Order: sequence, then structure tokens, then C-alpha cells
Amino acid sequence: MSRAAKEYKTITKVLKEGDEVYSQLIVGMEPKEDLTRWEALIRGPSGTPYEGCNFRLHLSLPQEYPMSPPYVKFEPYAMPHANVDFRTGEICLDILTKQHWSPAWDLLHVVQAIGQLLDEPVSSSPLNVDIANILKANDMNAYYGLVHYYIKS
Amino acid sequence: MTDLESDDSLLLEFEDDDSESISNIDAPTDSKATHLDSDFANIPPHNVDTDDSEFDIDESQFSEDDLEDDYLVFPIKKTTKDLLDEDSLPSLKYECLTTQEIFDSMKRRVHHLQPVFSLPPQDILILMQRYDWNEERLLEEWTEKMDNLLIESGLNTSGESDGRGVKNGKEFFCPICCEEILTETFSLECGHEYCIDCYRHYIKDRLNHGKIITCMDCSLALKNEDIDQIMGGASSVKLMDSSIKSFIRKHSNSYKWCPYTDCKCIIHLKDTLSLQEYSRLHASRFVTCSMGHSFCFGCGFEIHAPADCRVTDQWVKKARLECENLNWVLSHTKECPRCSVNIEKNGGCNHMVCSSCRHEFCWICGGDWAPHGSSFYQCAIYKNEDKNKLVADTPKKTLRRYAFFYKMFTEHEVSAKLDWKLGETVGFKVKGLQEKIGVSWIEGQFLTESLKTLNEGRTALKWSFAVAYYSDPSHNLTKIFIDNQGLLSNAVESLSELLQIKSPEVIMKRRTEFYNKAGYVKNRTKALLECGRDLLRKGISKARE
Ligand SMILES: [Zn+2]
Ligand SMILES: [Zn+2]
Ligand SMILES: [Zn+2]
Ligand SMILES: [Zn+2]
Ligand SMILES: [Zn+2]
Ligand SMILES: [Zn+2]
Ligand SMILES: [Zn+2]
Repeated sequence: MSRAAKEYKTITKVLKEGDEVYSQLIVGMEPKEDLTRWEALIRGPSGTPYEGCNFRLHLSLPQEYPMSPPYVKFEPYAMPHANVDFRTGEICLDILTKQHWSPAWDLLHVVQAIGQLLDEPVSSSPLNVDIANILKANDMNAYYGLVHYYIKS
Repeated sequence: MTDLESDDSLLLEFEDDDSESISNIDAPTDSKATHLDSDFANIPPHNVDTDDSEFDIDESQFSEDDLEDDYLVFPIKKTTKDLLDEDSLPSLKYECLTTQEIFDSMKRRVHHLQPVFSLPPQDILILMQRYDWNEERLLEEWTEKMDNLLIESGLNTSGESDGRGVKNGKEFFCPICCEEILTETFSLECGHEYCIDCYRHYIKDRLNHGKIITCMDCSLALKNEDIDQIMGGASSVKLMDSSIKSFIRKHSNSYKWCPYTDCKCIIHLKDTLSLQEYSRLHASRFVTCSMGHSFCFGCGFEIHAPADCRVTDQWVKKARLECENLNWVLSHTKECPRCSVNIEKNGGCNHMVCSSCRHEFCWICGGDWAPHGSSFYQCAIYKNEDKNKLVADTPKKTLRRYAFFYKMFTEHEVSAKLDWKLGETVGFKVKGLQEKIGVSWIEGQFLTESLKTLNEGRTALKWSFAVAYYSDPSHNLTKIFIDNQGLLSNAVESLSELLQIKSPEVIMKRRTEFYNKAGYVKNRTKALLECGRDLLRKGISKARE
């Protein structure tokens, strides 16, 4: 699986050298056991209710990767977000669907897209209805409050 | 290979073809689809009223020339399907197509549009695909956006076509598979170059989605010739096919797949307005594909007149829901209520006579037969109780009532299947007439016609039990309807008997009897259908959960 090996090289290099784009977002990212399972720790983007907290992501590469997208989940019961199932950590993001995925993207792209999703939740396709409803009502105090409540409990 | 212009000679004209498509009714393989639990029952009913009409395609896009002619040259066609159409109803104008024929007509449109766009046909094809083959919307946005539209659709606007195509084998590092090998590569004008294997894999995964396939790293579109060049075969045909399929999904108002297993026919209804009229009159919209499969355009189910789509839907749902209870009732209601001896119930009559104690009772309510009178099957006691509200309907009795109608329904379904078997022998008989006594093929057709009439009668009879089940039993029109069922039932039985005759000489001798009996079945069928429609129109028969 030389594609995964290549990505491993790139990721370690990026993290070591402190790439401008990724080092703000990614605290750490490394493979578990073999190169088909990865864990990443990402920083809550500034200017969001997630600021100041780190979140764990689990990535796994299907056999057909990169022709098929990787499976990506947050740690269960850890990410209160309109497009994340709080219980399972599942993420609703179109680039992670087989239909929208492009083999030209890699794991760094994926993590970056998830960072962007934390910044810009999409309330129209919610996996967490409570948060999506507050977002639709545009009640920022309640939004921050609810996210913080979830994170602390 | 996909030179659009040179293809023109192969293009099939879109003609109103329904006269031909219904002639082929005696295909015996269809019999499987007449059963409730066959493939039909698995087809989710379409909701005609809420299906999208937003981007409904105007049929003039296909055949603006033919359309007017159709109305002039073919006014209402007098075909055998008139039996099912009431005279006052507009006849359905439809054609039977394949995805290839639809695509061919799209290609013709592309050819016509070329002067508007001044683009190569391949590019217009991409634009059409992007707009789900909705030419009107495409033209609208084209006048507004022009170049932006091209960019959005992934078409190269630079005017250069450098670097597009498959490149010869060389040492190449592919950023997708990360292999450094001797390989052919492909790239578009954007220069995003990948090995041919990665591209093949990528395209193969997408051929069935019907969407425009783009460069793996940007939004430039791959044209059909690119796809075929990469895949080394006519793979773009598959993409076009799936694109047309998604077009059909989006226009389910006017395009429907033939629901028969493995049938590739698509019925295109040319005049969706008449559908509303049909719906208002509780008449069903039956169409026949070129393979001879008839079905309801409204709900995708088999021909179900006199029931309308709603009654049909409720009836089928109920049959599935009550499946287990039904078996219980059907197997436990054969006991004589007085002496508990098992009794064989024969046919549709509810008048049970115990073979042991001679007790006469009603199969539906289990009560004495005496107060029931001589109705064809109506349980008079049930009706009377209903009227006087003396005793509330017990669930058991309600189920028995349903079980009765369901049984009648399936009995006619079974008979219809036997008729199909009969159909196979009718073919031999016609041959026999020709060979043994020199009857011409045309002359022998009265046999085939009779069989067809018999089948239509049976189907009407079968579905009439769904209508009767939902009818108010105390209403006078319901009684008339039931009388009509009885008359058609007798007519069908006697025609069926006639068709059992084997000797060619006897058949020819009794030929006028065939004409008469078939004619009678036709009239009775028509009367029953009209009466059923009346029941629905007047709200006397109403589908309920
Ligand atoms: Zn490759
Ligand atoms: Zn590109
Ligand atoms: Zn068919
Ligand atoms: Zn229907
Ligand atoms: Zn008895
Ligand atoms: Zn009787
Ligand atoms: Zn009774």
C-alpha cells in the first residue's frame, strides 16, 4: 500500500516542519497498528465554541482507498456539532461520500475539511437536531452554551 | 465512434405506437404477474399527484414536428383498449421507448441546438447532461450566463486543447496510487495527470451514477470520447444510459418504467394533462409496453379497473397486513356452526349447506341462511345489523367479511392464471383450424380475441371485489354493482367453457357462439367497470385504512 506510505511520509514531514495551514489545526496525527487506521487530535478553531479544546478523530482507510473515501469519526460522546452524531461520532460531510470523494484528496485534506466544518456547521443536514435548531434560530448565546454544556459533561 | 451527425441515419423516429404495443397481449409469460404476491406487489406505489413536475419536460422538445401531426392524423384511436376507456375519457397518448431511443432523441436535439451554441456536439451533450436534459432551462441559462455556464459545466474555455488525452507509456509517478511505473497516463487541459489504471478505476466507479465525470483534481469534464479512449471501449454508453435513467427518475410524471421483471421498456406519456382528468373520474390509466405488458401508469400496478389507484393501494396493503389473520380465517371457517363437521366451500357462493346435518348457513357471518335471501354473495345479515346498529361489528366478523372478498379476489386471480394456460392451447387450436380445415389465419383470430376478452373480464371481476369491499353495503348502487358482478361472473364462466372445446370442427361450427358470448362478456365488463367508477365517483366506495 504505497499510497498510505506516501501519505505517512507527507504527514510526518508536515507536522515536524510546522506547515502553516495544518499546524494551526492539527495537534497530532499518527497511524495505529498499520497504515489503515489513523488517529488525529485537532484543535477547536478560534472564534468557534470549540476554541480551547482538542478533539479526537478516528480515520480508517478502506481497501479501495483512495478510490473510496476514508471512514472518519469523532470520538463518541465528545463532539457536539450539528453535523456530527453525538452518540457515535459519525460525521455528515459530502466529500466523505463515495459520490463526492475524489481520489486526488488525501487524509490531510479530509482533516482540513473537518476543521472547516467545525467553523461552518450546516444546519440543513443535521445529525444533532438540538444544535441545528438553535443554529437555525440564530441564537449564538444558546449555541455556545449548549456546545460548552455538552463538552463539559 | 460517437460522431453524432453520422448517427442520424440510425435514429428511430418517435411515433405514437400504442396501437401496435397493445396487440401483443397473448404472451403467456405474463401470467406470473397477475398474482398479488408476485413482483408487482414489491413495487412501491408511485404517488402520481405529488411527483415532481417542476422541470417537467415539454414533449415538443422531442418531436415538435410530429406532435401536431399526431393530433391531426391520429385522432382518438379506436383500439381494443377502448373497452377499458370510457367514451367520455380522453385516450392516453403514450409511446414505448428504451433508454437508447431516448438518448438518440437527445442526440438529435443536440444536433438541432448546434447553431445556437456553436460548440462541438460533445460539449453540448455535457451541457444537456448538466441540465438533466432539460433543454428549455439550459437555453434560458445559456442566454444569461454564457461563458460562466461553460466553466460551471467543466468545459474548457481557453480555446486550447493542448495536453488532453491519453499519453504514451513512460516512467511516471502517479500521485493517486503512488506507484512509479512504466504506464500510459491521461490528463485534460488542466495538466492533472494520472496513470491510466487509476483513471480506469475512477471512471468505472462512476459510470452508473449518471453524472458528469470530471478530472480527479478539478472540475474539468471528461467527454464521452475521453471516457472511451481511457476505457478502451464504448464505456460512455453506460454513462449515458445511467444519465437517461436519472432523467426518467426526475420526470416520473411523464416517464415510467414497465414494472414487469427484466422489462426494459419505458412508457412516455405525451399528455400529462389527461391524467388529471382520469384521476378526477376515478378511472385508471392503463398502458401497454411493446412487450405486451399492461400496467397502470398511475400506480405502476397491474390493470386494476374498476378499482382506482387508491383502492388498489389500500387493498394490496391490507392483503399484506392481514396475511396471517387471513390464513387463520380461511382455514377455520369451514366448520358447520351446528355440528362442527368440516365443509368444503366451493366457489363464490356464501350459501353453505352442511353435508352432514343439512344446516344452511352464511359463510361470512356463520348465521342461518334463511334471512339472507338470494343475493349473489352479499351477506344480508351483515348489512341489516349495520343498518339497525343493533350489534357492533366484531373484529372477527369484520375480518371474515374481508376474508370473503379477499378469497373471491384470489379465486379470480387463480382462474385468470388457468386462462393463461388455456391461451397456450388456443394458439395450437388456431393452427389446427388452419391445417385441418383450411381456415385462414385472419378467420381464426376470433379465438384469440375471445381469450383476450375473457381475460379482461376476469381482471375486471377480480378487482371489482376490492371496490365492493370498500362499498357501503346498504347503498342501492352497491346492490346493482353486485348484480353486475354476478352477471359478468356467469358470462365469463360460459365463455371459458366454450374455449375448452378441442375439436377444430366443433369450434368452427359454434363460431357464432364465440362471437356472441365474447360480445356479451365485453358488454358486461364494460357495465361493471362503469358501475364501479360510479361507486367511486359518488363516494359510495371509499378506500380506508
Ligand atoms: Zn495511479
Ligand atoms: Zn484537472
Ligand atoms: Zn414491459
Ligand atoms: Zn393504478
Ligand atoms: Zn352441520
Ligand atoms: Zn347459494
Ligand atoms: Zn351472513
